[in-house]
Amino acid sequence: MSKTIDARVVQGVLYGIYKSLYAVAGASSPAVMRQAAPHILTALNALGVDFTCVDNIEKLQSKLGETLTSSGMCDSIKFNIEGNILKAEITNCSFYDLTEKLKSEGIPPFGCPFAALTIAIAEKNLGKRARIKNLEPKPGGNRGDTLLEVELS
Amino acid sequence: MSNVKMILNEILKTDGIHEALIVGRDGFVIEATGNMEADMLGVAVSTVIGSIESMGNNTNQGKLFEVMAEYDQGTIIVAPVGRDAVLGVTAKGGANLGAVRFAVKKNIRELERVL
Repeated sequence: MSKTIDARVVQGVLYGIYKSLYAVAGASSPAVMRQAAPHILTALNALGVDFTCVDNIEKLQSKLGETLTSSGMCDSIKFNIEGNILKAEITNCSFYDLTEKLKSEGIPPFGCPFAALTIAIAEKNLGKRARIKNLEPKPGGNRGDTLLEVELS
Repeated sequence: MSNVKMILNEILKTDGIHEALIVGRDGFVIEATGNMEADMLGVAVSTVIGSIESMGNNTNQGKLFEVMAEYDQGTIIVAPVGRDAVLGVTAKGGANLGAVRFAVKKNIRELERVL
């Protein structure tokens, strides 16, 4: 089995899945992603990516950042926390074009894997309740740079 | 106690109602009362309302007010609360569904106000 796959193919597959999911579940599509995220963690764990060591924001940044960058999902990801808002600056997101295409068709970025994994780990490992507060292109950033904000409670 | 929790407790006073919860459209459980797997039910409640709304939109049915699912052991009622939240209520089998539905309708606006 090939260890790499053309990102355009992945984006095409995800485009079809996200678009049809939105057609079926509408504004509640993010709830499906919330359900999917722990399963993604389990699948990653089976592939040897173990997040059980993550018990604070610093480890979240290093472990999730290492995983996402080494797999080519982005060039870098940097977390910081302001009050109860966990902010992630994602550089050169590989799903940026897919996200923009979906948004141009009126479909919100509910399937963001960065958000899904951040929320799942925050809830499972940090004992927090978490939900997306904001996800948008980073103001003043380059194409592909994204700002993710997750509200913790 | 939060205003949302107080309203859910008010709903819970209706005879036959077991549980009540408010979730965001993303499945995030905002508040819940009664004994339940709130996270699981929250995701289900949110996706049900989204699917039923989409079905209505595709057939030009207008705004959705309520979804009621009857089972042999009970009933689940789901209703949108504004644009961003959903109310889910479970009732035991044999409950007076008119009273249950009334309790839901009566408290929707109050929930919209406090959320």
